[in-house]
Amino acid sequence: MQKKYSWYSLLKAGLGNQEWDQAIPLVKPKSKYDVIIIGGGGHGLATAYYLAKECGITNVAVLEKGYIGGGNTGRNTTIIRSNYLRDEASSLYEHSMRLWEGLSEDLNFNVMFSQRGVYNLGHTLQDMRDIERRVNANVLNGVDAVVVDHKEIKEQIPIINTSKNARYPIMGASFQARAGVARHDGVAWGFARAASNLGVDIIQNCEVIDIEVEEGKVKGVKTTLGDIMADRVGCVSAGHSSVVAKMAGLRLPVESHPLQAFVSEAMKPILHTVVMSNAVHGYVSQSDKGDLVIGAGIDGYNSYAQRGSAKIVEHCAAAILELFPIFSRVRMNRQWGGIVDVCPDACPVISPTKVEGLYFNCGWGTGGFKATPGSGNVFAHTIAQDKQHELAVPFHIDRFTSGALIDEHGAAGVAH
Amino acid sequence: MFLIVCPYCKESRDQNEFSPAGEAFIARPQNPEELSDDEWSDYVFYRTNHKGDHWEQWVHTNGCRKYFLVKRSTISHEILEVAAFGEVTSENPS
Amino acid sequence: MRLKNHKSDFIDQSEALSFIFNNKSYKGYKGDTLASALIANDVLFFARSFKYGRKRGLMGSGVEEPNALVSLEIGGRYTPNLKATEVMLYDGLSAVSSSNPNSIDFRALIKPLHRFMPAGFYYKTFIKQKVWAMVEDSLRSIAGFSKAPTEKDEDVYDHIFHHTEVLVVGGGVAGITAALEVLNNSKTTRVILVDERAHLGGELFNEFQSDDTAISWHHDNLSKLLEFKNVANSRLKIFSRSTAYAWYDHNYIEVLQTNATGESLISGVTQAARKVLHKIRAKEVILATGAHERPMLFETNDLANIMLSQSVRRYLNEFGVISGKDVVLYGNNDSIYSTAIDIKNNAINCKVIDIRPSGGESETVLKAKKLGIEVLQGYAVLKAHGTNLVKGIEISSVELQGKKWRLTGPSKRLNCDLLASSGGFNPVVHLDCHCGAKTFFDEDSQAFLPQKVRKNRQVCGSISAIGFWKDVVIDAKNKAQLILLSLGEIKKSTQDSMSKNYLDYYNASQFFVPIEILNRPKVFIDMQNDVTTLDVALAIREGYRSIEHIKRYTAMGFGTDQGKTGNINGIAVAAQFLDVPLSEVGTTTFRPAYTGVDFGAMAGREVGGFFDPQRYTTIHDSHLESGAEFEVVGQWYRPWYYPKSGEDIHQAVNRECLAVRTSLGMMDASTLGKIDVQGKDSREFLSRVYTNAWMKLAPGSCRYGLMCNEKGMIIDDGVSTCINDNHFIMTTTTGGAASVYSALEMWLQTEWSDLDVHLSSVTDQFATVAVVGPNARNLMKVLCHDIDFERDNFKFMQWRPGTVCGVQARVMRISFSGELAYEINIEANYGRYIWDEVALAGKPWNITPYGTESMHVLRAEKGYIIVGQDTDGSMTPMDVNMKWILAKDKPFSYIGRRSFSISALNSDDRFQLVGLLTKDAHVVLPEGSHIINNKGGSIGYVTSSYFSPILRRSIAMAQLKGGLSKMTEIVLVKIVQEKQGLKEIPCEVSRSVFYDIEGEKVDGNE
Repeated sequence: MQKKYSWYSLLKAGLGNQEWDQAIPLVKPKSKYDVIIIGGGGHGLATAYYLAKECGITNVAVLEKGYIGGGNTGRNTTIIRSNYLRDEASSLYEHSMRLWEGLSEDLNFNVMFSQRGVYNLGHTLQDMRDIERRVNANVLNGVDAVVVDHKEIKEQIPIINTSKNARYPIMGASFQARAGVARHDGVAWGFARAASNLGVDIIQNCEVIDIEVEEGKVKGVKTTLGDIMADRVGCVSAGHSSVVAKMAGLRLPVESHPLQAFVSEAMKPILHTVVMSNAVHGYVSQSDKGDLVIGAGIDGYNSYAQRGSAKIVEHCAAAILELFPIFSRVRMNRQWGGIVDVCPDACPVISPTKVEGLYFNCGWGTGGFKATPGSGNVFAHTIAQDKQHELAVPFHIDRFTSGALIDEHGAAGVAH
Repeated sequence: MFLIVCPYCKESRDQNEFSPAGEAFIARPQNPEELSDDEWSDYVFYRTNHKGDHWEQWVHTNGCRKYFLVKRSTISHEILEVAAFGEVTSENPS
Repeated sequence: MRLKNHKSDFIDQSEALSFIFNNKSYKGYKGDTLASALIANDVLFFARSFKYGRKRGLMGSGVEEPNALVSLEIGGRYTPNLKATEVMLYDGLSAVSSSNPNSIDFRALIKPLHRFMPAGFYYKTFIKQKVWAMVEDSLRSIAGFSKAPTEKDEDVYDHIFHHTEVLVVGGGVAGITAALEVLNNSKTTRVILVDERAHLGGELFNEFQSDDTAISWHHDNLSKLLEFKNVANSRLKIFSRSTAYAWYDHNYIEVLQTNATGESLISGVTQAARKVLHKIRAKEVILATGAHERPMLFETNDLANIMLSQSVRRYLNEFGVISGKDVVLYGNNDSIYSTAIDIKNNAINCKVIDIRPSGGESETVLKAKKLGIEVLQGYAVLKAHGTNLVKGIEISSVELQGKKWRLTGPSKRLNCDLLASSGGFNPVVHLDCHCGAKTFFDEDSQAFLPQKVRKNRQVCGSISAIGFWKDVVIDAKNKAQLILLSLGEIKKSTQDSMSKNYLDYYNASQFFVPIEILNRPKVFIDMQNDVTTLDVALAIREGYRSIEHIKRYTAMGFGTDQGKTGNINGIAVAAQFLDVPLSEVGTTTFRPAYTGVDFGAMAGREVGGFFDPQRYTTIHDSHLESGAEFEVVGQWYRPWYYPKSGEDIHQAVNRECLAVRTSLGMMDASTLGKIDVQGKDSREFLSRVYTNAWMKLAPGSCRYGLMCNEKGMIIDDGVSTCINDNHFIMTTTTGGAASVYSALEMWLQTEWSDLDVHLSSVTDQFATVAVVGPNARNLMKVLCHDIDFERDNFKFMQWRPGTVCGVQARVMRISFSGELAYEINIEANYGRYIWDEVALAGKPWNITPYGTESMHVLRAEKGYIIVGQDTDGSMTPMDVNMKWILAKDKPFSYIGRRSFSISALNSDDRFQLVGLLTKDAHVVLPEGSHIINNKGGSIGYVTSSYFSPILRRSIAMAQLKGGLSKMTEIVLVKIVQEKQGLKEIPCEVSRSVFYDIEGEKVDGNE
C-alpha cells in the first residue's frame, strides 16, 4: 500500500523523515492478465482503476505506448461540464460530473477540479433557442443549468465584450455552475497511482502491435515488450482507435482529426470562469498558473500528426478577441494539437464488438476529458460484466446500423 | 498549412483555398435498396481512417470549385499525389 | 555601469532617452534595450520568481531571458510579460516589474515553508474538494506574472503573405553568408532573410574587439546585401526584429515582425501596425538560428548578477555596459575565455574557473593566460554566496571519472560581484522540430542537433555546433550551394572544407556536473518556475521518469522563456539521476511559438467588423432607413422587424402579420440561396437529391422539395423552378446555401459525373422582393403589364417571365405564408429600385414591409417548417409528417432513401413534429421548453412558438415523442426556469397547421 498524501506526510517528507512512494511504479508485464487495457490515457487508467475498485478485477494491465497521459489527456483544455442536450449524453456526463466532485478524495490525489462555472454563449436567435432547449432539458435531468442574458454575463465577467455592435453580439448564455476545469496531468497520474495501489500494472513504453483473435475470441496482444495474454481487452486509444481496431480486423465509424489548443503567457487572474462560444469557435479559461487556456476548432482533414493548420488557431485568436478585446496584447506562449477520433453523431462508442472479449471505448471527439471518470467507470463495468453498463447502452456501436444515433450536433455545434 | 496542387488549375496553392471533403474511393452503392443494414451502415458511417498514405477528397472551394483526389500521408502530411476524378492514380479503384 | 570611451556601433550616445522603471527615472541611449539601459544604471533586480518569489536579476540578453519580465505602458498600450532584453528603449518608456522585487512578497515571506513545498506539492494537498474550492482563488492570486491588460488595444496588426524560393532564418554570419551565396549564384532566386535582433550580425559583434577581420567582413557583406536589396524589383527582403516563431506543414513559416521602433509606441501616437505577421511560403529554408548558451549548475545559482557568459560579453561589446567590477567566468568550454579576454581588455578584473583539467589548452585559453587573467582549471563552483545578490562563490577541485565528474578536494571561497557561466550551447532547433523533425544527441558536441537530412531544408552555423565564425562562413556557403542545387540553379555544388575540426572551437567537455552538486538544494534549472535539481530527482523517485512527466510534474520549461536556458540542463540532470545517456532521455516536444505572439498579431485585421464577412442585400439601405432591427442568419443581416416609433417587437410583428393577412405585405427574400441548375440531366439530378418527383414538372412551374442526407435526415428545403427542360433554379435556406451547394457539387463531381448538369451559385445575382397578401394580385397588375395575373392563367406554384417597372423579371407565385404571394426576382442591382417601386405602388393597400419574425409567425400559422429550427439534423421527413413528399417509384434510390428503412427510423417513439395549442389561448409557450411525461421526464420540446394575431391565440410547434399518434391528447409543458415563472402548462396536441387549414387563401380574394 502506498502512503497517503496528507499534510502530515508532507511535513514528514519536508523534514526528511519520509520518502514518497512511487506514484507510478516501474513494472514489467506479466505473461497473462484478466483484463488488458490498451491505452494509458485518462479513460484507460480510469477503466483500470474502477475495474480494480468496483469490479474486483485487479489482475489488470494498462499498456501505454508512450508515457501515461501523453495523448489527449495531456493536450486538452480541461473543460468539465455535463450540460448536454440529449438524455443519453447528459446522463453519462452527469455521472461523470458526480465522480469528478469526489475524485480528489477518492484517489487521494488533488486533481484540482475547480468548479468555476462554464458559460456557453449564444450569439443568434437560433443559438438562444438551442440554449433554452438544452438548459430546460438539463434541469429536467437534474443537471444544474440556467439561461443568463447579456447583462448578467457582463456582471459576472466584466471584461467580456457585450457590445451590441460586435460582429457576433452576445445575446445570452447557458451557465452551469458546477462545471469547471481540472488539472489534466493530475487526472492521469491520480488514476494511475490509485490503480497501481490496487494492484493494476501500468506499463509504459509498451506498444501494442497486434491483437490476437482466435475463432472470434480475443486471446491477448503482441507488444513491443512481448506477448501478453488476456481473455478480455479494452481499447481506449483515442486518436488511434481505428489503428487498434484494424489489428483485430475491425472498422470503426470514426475519423481522426487534429484538434488544436494554445495557451498564453501567465498573467494575474482576470478571468474567473470558463467561456465557450461555438458560434465564433473559441473557448477560454484562465488556469491557476495564470495562463489563458484556449481551445480552437478541429481541422477538417484526417491526421495522426499532433499538429494542425495555422489558420485554425489564428481564427480562434480572432474569436477570443471578439469576446475579450483586452487580450490583444497578450501573447500566445505555446500551441499544440491532439488527435481526436470523431464519431458521426458527436457521441462516443462504449461497446462490445464482433470479437468476443474485445471492447472499444472511443469516438469522444472533442469532449473526452470531461467524461474521464464516468467513461472509465461505465467501461469497467461493461468489461467486467461482459454487458454494457446501463448508462453505456445507448452508446453501443450497433446504433450506426440501427440508426439510433444520439445526435448531439444540435447542442454541440462545432466543438465542445 | 498545406500547399496543394489543384489538378484542374495546375497551380500550387495555399490550403486556405481548399476544403477537405472526406475519405476517397467510397463509392455510393449502385443499389442501396439491395444492401443489408450492415452494408449500408458501412457505406454511410464506417471509414478506413488510414494511418499512413491516405487517399482523400479535397475541393478547390475558393478557386475552380472542383473536387479532386489527394494522396497524403496522415503521419507526415506530405502530399504524394493529386488527381482529378477519372484520372488514373497509382491505386485507382475509381 | 556603462563603460566610458566604449565604442559601440549600436549605442548613440548623442541621443539620451529618459525612461521610468518601477516608478524611478533613468537615462539610457538610443540603441539600448531596457535591459542594457538598466545595467548601465546599476539596476540589478528586475523581478521575482514564480513559485518562491525570489528576487532575480538578468540572466541573458535576448529571448532566452527567464527572469526580467516587465510590463510596459498603461491603458490601451499596456503590454504584459515582456522580457526587458527584448524591449528597445525609447524616450518616455515606462516599465514595471511583473512582480516587484523591491516590495514585500508573500511567497518570499514563507521561505521557511519552501522545504515543505516540493514539486507536486499541490497534488498532495487540499485533497478535500471543499477545501480546494476555498483555497484555490487565493492561490491563483499569488500566481501569474504581469497583470492582465484591462483596455482594448489601441494598435493594429497586419498580415503579409510572401512567396519565396529561399527563406533564411537568422541574420548572423551564417544567415548573411547563405543569403549572399544564393543571390550571387542565381539571377532569379528570391531570398527572404529574417532576424530577431535589430541589427544583422548575430554573435559576430563579439569578435569585433579582438578580430579586425570580423569588422571588415561584416562591413563588406552587409554592403553586398544592401546592394541586392536597394534595387528596383529586388529579389531580397530583409526583416529585422522579426522572429520566425512557427513552422507549419509544407514549408509554411510564420514570422512576427515588431515595428522598427520596437515596442516604442508611445501612447496616443498613431502609426502603422505595431506588429506584422509575415506568412512565408518558401521552397527552401536555411536555418541559421544559432545556439543558446546554457548556464552551469550550482547551489543558489539564481542570485542576481549570475549571468550567462555570452550575455555578459554581448552587453559589454554591443552596449558598453557591465554589471560588476570583479567578475568570475565559470564554465566547461573555451567561450568563457573569450568573454574574459574582452572583460580584461576593458580593464575590469576577472578570473576564470574552468571545470576542465589543465592540459591541451587552445589558443584562446593561452591568450587569456597571457593577458594575465587568473585561471583555475579543474574546479567546479559548488555554491554562490550572497543574499539575493552574488557576493562570492564556493569552489572545489574536480576530476572526470569516465563520463562523470567527481569532487576531489575541499571547498574554498572566492569573492566576486558578477558570475558569468557557460555550460555549453544548445542549438536553436525549435523551429526545425515544429513539423515533426527529430533532434539527435551528438556526443561529440554534447548537444541536441537538428535531424541530419530533411527535405528542402539546410542548417548552418552554430545550430550545427559550428562555433568559429570563419568556419561558419564556409559551412553556410556549402549549405547554400546545396540549396542552389536543389533549386536547379546550379548543376553541381561546391563544398569547401572548414579550417579546423568544428569541435575545437568551444572545446566543450561533458556538460554534466558532479552529482554532489545536483543533490544540493536550490540548484535552479528553470529560473522562471523555480524548478530545482531536487525537484527533478523527486519526480523520478516518485515514478515520473519520462522527460515529459518530469517536465509536467515540475513545471520545467512552462514559462514564458519556454525553457530556452533550462530545459536541456533539466534533461541532463534527469539523465544523471536516471543514470542513462542523454540520448535516452530525449527532449520534450518543441512546439510553436518559439517566442510569444500577440493574439492581436495572430488575428491581424480580422477583428471587430472584419471578424467575419457581413452580407447585405441590395435593399439593405432601405431597411436601415426604415429603422429595421436585424437578425443575423448565416452571414446575412436580415430585417427582423420594422418597429414604428414606440412599438416593441410584439406590436410591430402583430401589425406586420395582420397587414399580410388582411391586405398586403412585402419582404426582402434576397438572402435565400439560389442555385442555377442547367444541363439535360437536371431533372434526374433534382430527383436524386430531393425526395420527391421532378421528371414531370413543366416549364413555367415550381415545386417544393425536401432534401435529406444519406442518414435520412432533413438538411434543407426550398422551391425549385423549371425555367425549361434543361434549366432549373433551386432555392435553399439562407443559412444552408453554401453547404447545400457544396454537397450538390460533390455528388455531381464525385459520383455522377455522367450526368450533364452544371451548377452555379446565383444567390448574389438576384434580388427577390416578395409581395404577399390578398391584394398582391392587384398590386402586381399595377407593376407589371406583360404578365397575365388572372388566377387561372398564373396559378399557384407557377412562374412567368415579364417586365416589372421596366426591369426584366422572373415572377414566381409561391407562398411561405399561405397568402396569395408573388416573388419578383430581378437582377440584384435593381433590388432597391424595385423595392421602392413596390412600396410606392402598394400604398393604396397600405403595403407593409415585414421581417423574419413575422415571416416565422406567418409560416407557423400554416405549419411550414423552418429547417434548423423545427428540425435539428435528427428529423426525417416522416418525423415532420411529410411522408407525402417521399416519391415511391423513382428508379434512382435518392439520397437518404435507403436509411428510411432502418429500424430506429421507423420507431413509434421518435420525436415527431406536431402542433401545440395551449389551453389558455393567451399563454405563449417559451421556445425551448419541454413537454414532460407523468414521471417528469422530457418527451419533447417546443421548437417554434408565437402569438398569432390573426387567430388571436398562441400557436406552437413541437417535437414530441410519438407525437403524430397523440393528436388531441393533452400534454404538459413544464417551465423550469424561475425567470419564466415555474409552472406546468396544459396543451393540446394538434396538427401543425393552424390557419386556413383548407388552403383557401392562397388564391387571394377573388
